Amino acid sequence: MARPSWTDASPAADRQSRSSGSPRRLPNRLGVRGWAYAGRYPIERYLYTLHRLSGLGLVLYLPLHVWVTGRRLQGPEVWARTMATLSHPVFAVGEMLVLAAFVFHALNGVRLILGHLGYTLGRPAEPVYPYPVALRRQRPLTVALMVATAVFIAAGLWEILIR
Amino acid sequence: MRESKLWALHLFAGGALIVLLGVHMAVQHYPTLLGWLGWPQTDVRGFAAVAARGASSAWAVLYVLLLGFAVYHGMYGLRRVLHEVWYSPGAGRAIDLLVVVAGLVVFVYGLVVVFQAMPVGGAS
Repeated sequence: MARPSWTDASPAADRQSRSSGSPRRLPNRLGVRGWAYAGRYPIERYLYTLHRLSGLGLVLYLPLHVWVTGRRLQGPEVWARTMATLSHPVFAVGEMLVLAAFVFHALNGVRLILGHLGYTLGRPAEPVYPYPVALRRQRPLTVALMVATAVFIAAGLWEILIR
Repeated sequence: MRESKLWALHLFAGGALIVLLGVHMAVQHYPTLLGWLGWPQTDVRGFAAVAARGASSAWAVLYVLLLGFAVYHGMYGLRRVLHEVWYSPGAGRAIDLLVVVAGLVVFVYGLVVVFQAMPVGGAS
């Protein structure tokens, strides 16, 4: 019997994947477009998109940062030249973006870790109207963390500007 | 390793990074605010300060842990995004190989940078 294609979500393929014990995988029809819009997204869904974008930016920055740090092994002159290059406004803007990405990713990450571990979302409850919504229960924490994000980013930008 | 364990480690690495990277970012990016809290004011990017941190065992431990958790957390996150965007068994294996190789290259070079900077390792 042929294995179901990963992109085939037909009922037959679904039954086959269940009987074979492999996990069911539905097609990702929207792809990256779905990160931005696929209906009425709550604020947390946009935070999820920003979390991904900031994470991808930080992943790309990581090898560059390790390489720049390694320049110190070549002595004080090379290090001074590297720091002089990095003081260019273009790199200063890049530094601001990295700082903002880190602060956002870290504080939104606190919310995600707590949620993944089952905290802050409330206990399961009988769905009696008006229905309890887990994300709404978490909303005060979300707002507090985003305010803290704005404060830390503003302080970091101020530190870069007065340097 | 099962996917759930890889994911749990990703979560744990994220929590550890908030602390470790928080320390790194505070020292590097919030010197004035730390100064108000009594932290000594130095040119944190000057060669003397960089070399002093490089020669310190405590900073070396922090940087190795930071490097390890950052590479794992970053590469696992990248892998999850890539798996979502391009999925087929062939692409999945290529993505897994790519993130493992890229992660190892960054991690090993990072270790070289940390240990070469220590007095027992070489340069400074």
